[in-house]
Amino acid sequence: MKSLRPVTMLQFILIISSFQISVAFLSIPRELARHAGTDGWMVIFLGWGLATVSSVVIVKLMKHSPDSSILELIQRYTGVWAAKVAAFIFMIYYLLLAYDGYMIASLVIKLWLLPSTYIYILVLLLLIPTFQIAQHGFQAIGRHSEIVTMLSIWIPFIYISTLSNAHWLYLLPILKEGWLPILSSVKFMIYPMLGIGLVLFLYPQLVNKEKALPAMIISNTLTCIVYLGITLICYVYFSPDEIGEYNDPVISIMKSVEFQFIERVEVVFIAFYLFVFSCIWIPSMYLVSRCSASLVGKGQERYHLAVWCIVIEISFILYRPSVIESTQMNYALNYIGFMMEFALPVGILLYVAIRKKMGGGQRT
Amino acid sequence: MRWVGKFIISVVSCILLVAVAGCANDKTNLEDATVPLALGLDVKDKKLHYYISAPVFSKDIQKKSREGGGVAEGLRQSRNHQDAQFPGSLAGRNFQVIIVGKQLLQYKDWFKVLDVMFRDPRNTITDRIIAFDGPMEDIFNFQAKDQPPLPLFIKAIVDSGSRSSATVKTTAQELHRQLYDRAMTPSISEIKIENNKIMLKGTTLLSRKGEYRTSLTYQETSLLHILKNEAKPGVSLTFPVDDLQQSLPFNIDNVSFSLGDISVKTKSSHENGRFQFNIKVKSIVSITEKFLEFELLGNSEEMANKLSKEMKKSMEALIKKCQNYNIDPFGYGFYARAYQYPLYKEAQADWGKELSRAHFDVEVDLRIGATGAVE
Repeated sequence: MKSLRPVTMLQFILIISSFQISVAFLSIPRELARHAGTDGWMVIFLGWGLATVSSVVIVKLMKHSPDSSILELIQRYTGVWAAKVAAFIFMIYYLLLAYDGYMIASLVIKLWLLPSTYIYILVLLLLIPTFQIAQHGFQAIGRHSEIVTMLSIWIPFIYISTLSNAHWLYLLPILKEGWLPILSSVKFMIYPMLGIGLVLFLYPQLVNKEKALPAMIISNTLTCIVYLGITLICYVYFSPDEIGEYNDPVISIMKSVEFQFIERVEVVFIAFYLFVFSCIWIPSMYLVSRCSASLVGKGQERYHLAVWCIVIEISFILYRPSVIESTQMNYALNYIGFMMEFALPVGILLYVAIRKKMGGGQRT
Repeated sequence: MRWVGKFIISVVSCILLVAVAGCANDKTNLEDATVPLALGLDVKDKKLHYYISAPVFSKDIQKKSREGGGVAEGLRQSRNHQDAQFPGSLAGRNFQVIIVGKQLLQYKDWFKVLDVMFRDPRNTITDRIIAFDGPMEDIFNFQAKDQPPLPLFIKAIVDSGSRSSATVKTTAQELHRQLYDRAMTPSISEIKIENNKIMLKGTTLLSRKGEYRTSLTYQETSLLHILKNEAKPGVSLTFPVDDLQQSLPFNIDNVSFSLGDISVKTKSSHENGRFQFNIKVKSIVSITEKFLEFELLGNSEEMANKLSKEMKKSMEALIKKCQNYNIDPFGYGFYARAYQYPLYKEAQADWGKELSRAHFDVEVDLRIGATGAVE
């Protein structure tokens, strides 16, 4: 039994928040504008509520297993085979998230910075630091998230500087078309809030377990403040009739910023934003390796990690994803993510609660 | 000694990685690139012509720029033709200004030509869009010994002009916004060649589809800025306050003043089947030039009233002018959309037409805060 390296409260918050923000940050104003119009920013509050409910459920569930992850919990309550199935499902899920992250990041770089570089070369370059960091577990990932946060502090200031061209009247009237578009767009808030599921694995390593729920709420709030900020900035900058025209309004808005000392801020921004992007695939790849190690039942996690890195690289050599496919995958992840991080914890919690009532559960 | 081995392995792999990434096709040596700074577009004989000006970096050459041009079906489509006229590739364009000829402005949806600017993210979109009345060759072949390179020169006059509200600063991105927004119509800067000099002419107002409608002078542009509530403090205006006989080479009844902080309050309502806009302009001004004999100290109230009246008159004239052309460069549609959405939604397909029926109520309230150092 190896000792668990502790993760501090700040690291815990930042791991979750940066995981949530990393990829969705670029797409959220576009998705909300296309589906809910200028009232889209209100959907973020609903997304926050949904994520908070799920956070409560996850923390309640993990209270049953303060020293081991969800996989051991399942094993304890339902047996080895169920745990294997769960490990497999989680592995596929996080593999999907990591793949999605690599795909979006490499497509963004290819479109905006290096149009004639092959995607698999970009992915190869991204996989090396992934392996370096992910092999050391959540503590290293937490420190990485801290550094990324510090490195990205300047980004909001650039966005705030665009407010000199803001047209606040674009936000009015509130509830332009009524509540229906807002309520029906809630599903697009699932993908941006994915990341709370990390707690299922992260919880045992948290130093201060009583504060887990407040910490999760803080990180959800932090994420939603970032989303709200960028969505409002895009909404007051682009006209409501035009914002749907842009594929990446978040980057397009950067293009219009002119400084005396630098003309094209978006180039620097995208290069820097790779750090933030990496916050989704590093934890994901780590969890993939952990799940696959527990699935096979032998071998060190780092060897599994290396294998999966190679698998991802090969998949990008064999198959070149397109922008349209990445959008479709995002839509699919809205549903898959809802199953994995919102519905599944509720199901397991109910099962555990019933088992406890029935007779204490079988301790193995 | 294990770390030595690790170190060597990482150094070798770093070199390999740099080689892998560096050998990609995304590399352009500066020697192989031509960086055009100005793009001109116009129509001649019903064909789209483009004009390019690129700086030449060489000590021995007298003329510091090289011009190219030709017939194009599309900007990207004519890429080979563009490349053929310049040493090196024209990739990585970095236009500072895009000059649009009046002939092109006669066509609907001419803006679609610039699609590549937005579609190819390597292109900048902060280039100023400028209208020019006259043959485009004139401006691209314009050579003056006392003038910095043409693109930078034009950019500079537009930027400084927009700072003092003599023209608007419409970048490609901004024009995109103004054209797509159904609640307003675009306005771009305008230049002219006069007495063998390139100079700022004012502002060109376009229709919803980008066609030329009318032009504004410097002062009208300043009023446009004020009505849009985008004027910065320091806007200078001149109005005649008395109808005096003109006996001097300059106009003796004119009074110039600069505005301090300007408060513009616009309220929209809908009455009797048409939109109604109440505009209240308030500002404290300082007199900057006055020729007539007028006791300012005692009668500042009277002078302020006179100036307010003149300003109101010319604002109403400007609004009337725009209404006649069915355009809304002010963005009054924003107010209608924000506060009368259901009614606006019915009219948004042809907002300019709806606006031409609207009723405007302008109130100007100026107070004289300073009269300068002399009485």
